[in-house]
Amino acid sequence: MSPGSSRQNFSYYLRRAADSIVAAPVVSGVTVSSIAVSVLFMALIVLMGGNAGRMVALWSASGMDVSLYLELDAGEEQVVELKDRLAAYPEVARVNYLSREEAWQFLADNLGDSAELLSGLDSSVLPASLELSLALDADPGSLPARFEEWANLEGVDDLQYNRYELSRRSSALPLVAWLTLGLCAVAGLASLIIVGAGYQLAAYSRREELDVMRLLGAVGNLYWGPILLAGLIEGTAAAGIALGVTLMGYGALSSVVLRQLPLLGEAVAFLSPTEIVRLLGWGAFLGGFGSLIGMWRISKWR
Amino acid sequence: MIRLSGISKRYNGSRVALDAVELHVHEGEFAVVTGPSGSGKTTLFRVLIGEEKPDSGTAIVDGRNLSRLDASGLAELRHQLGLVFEEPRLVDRLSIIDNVALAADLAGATRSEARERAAACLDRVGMLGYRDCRPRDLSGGERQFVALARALVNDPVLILADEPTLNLDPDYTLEMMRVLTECCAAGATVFMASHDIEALSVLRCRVLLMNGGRMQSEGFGEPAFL
Ligand SMILES: Nc1ncnc2c1ncn2[C@@H]1O[C@H](COP(=O)(O)OP(=O)(O)O)[C@@H](O)[C@H]1O
Ligand SMILES: [Mg+2]
Repeated sequence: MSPGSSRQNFSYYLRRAADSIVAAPVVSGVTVSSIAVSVLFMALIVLMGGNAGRMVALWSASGMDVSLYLELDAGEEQVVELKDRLAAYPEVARVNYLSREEAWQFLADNLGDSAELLSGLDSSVLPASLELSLALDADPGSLPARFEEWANLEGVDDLQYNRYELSRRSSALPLVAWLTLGLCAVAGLASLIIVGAGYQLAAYSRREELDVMRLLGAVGNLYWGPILLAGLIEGTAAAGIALGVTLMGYGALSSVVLRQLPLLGEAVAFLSPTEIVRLLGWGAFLGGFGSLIGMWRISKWR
Repeated sequence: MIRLSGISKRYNGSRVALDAVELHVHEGEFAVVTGPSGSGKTTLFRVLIGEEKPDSGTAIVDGRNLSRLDASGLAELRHQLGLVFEEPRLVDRLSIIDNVALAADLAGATRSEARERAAACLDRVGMLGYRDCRPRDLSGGERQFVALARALVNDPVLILADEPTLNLDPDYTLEMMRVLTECCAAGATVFMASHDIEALSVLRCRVLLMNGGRMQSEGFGEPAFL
C-alpha cells in the first residue's frame, strides 16, 4: 500500500477535480475568465499576424510569378507530368501552361504598334513555358533552393523570377513574423502573472480543505493530481471559449472587410488547425501550471 | 504504540512548548494528557501526527520513527490513524457521508467500499440520518460526531484526539467518551489531550499531567465509566 501510487483509478481524480471546480464557482469563474482573456489576446495576435503576413505576400504576389521555360523538344506527356509534379509543391498555388503560340501572341499583344518587328520571325523561336503562381504563405527564405531544384528538373531549360520582389518579400515577412512572436511573448508573460494571481486566490479559498486532505493522508498524485487535472480542464475550457469568441468576431469582421475589399479574399483566413491546437494547449498549460503554482505556494507538502 | 523520548520544541522566539517529554503508550491502552491551557498538549498532538517537527528527541508512532518518514511515508501512517481535532474540520462542500468517505477514499478504498464503510461509521456514532446533509446544516456538536465517524472509517490502530469535547455539551461529551472507550475495547489504542473535567470524570484510564511543556505526574482517572 503506497499512497500516491496508481491504486486510485481515474475516476478519483476526475471526481475530486470536478468537485473542486464546482465547489467555488466564483473563484473558478475568475480563473477561467482570466485564462479565456489571455488566450483571446493570444488568438487575436496570432490571427492578425497570420493575416498581415498573407496580405504582405499578396501585395508582392503579382511580382512573384515564376516562369519555367521548357526545352524545345519537350513532349506533351513530359509537360503534363512536369505540371503535376510542380503543382504538388506546397509553395506552388497554380501552374499554367503557356504554349509557343500563346507566348508569341502574348508578346505580340504587348508590343502593340511595334508588332511588325516580329513579322520576319517564326513563332517557334519562343519556348513554351510553365507559369507558376506562388502560395502566399510560401517561405521566401527557402524559395531560392526550390528555384534551383525546379530549374534542374527534366525538360526545363531555364527558370526566371523577379529577384527584387523576392528580396522585398524576404525582408518584410520575417518582420511580420518576429513582430507577432514578440507580441505573443509579451502577452504570454502577462498572462502567466495574471493567471498565477487568480490561482493564488483560488488556492487561498481552498486552503482549509487541502489542509484537511493532507491530514487525512493525501499525498503525491492523490494530492496534486486533482489540482492539476482541475487546472487542465479549466484551462482547456477557457481556451475553447476564447477561440469561440475569436471565431465569431472573425466571422463578423471578415465578411465586412471582404465586401469592401474583395481582392483580399485570398489573404484573409481564420487560424489554422495547428494554431487552434496550440492555443488550446496554451490554455491547458496556463490552467495546469497556474493551479499547481497557486497550490504549491500555500501548501505544506513540498 | 507511542514512544516519545526527549522531545523538545520551542516555537520561534517564544518560550518552550515541549520540554524533554517522555511518553510511552502501550498498544490497546487508553491514555489522556491533561493540563492547563498553554501547557503544550496541542503541540504534543501535532508532533504525534507529524505536523510539527520537534527540535530534538525521537518520536516513534506505530513502530515508525517520525523523523525518518518522507511525505508519502507520513501519509501512509495517517491512513492508519484516526484523528479528531478541536474543530470538526469538515469539508463544507461535501455531504456528510462524503466527508467521512473521503478519509477511506484517500487511504485507497474504492468509491463504493468507502461509502459503505462511511455509512457504517456514521451509524455507529448515531449520525446516519444526516448522511446527505451538508456540514453547515448541522450543529457544532453534530459536526464533531461526523468528524469522529471520519476518524473511525479506516479502522485505525491508533486514535489521536485533541480536545475533542471542547465544543460539546455534557450529553455529547459522554457519548463521545463512550464511543472512544468502545473503540479501545475493540483493540484500538486511544490517546487524547483534554482539559475537559466532564470528559475526564467519566474515564477510568491513565492520566498524564502536563505543565509548562513538561510531563509532571501520572495517575489514574476517577473510575466512573463502564
Ligand atoms: N504556532 C505557534 N507559534 C508560536 N507559539 C505557539 C504556537 N502554538 C502554540 N504556541 C505556544 O506554545 C505553548 C503551548 O501551546 P499548546 O501546545 O497549544 O498548549 P495547549 O494545547 O496545552 O493549550 C503556548 O505557550 C503557546 O502560546
Ligand atoms: Mg490545545
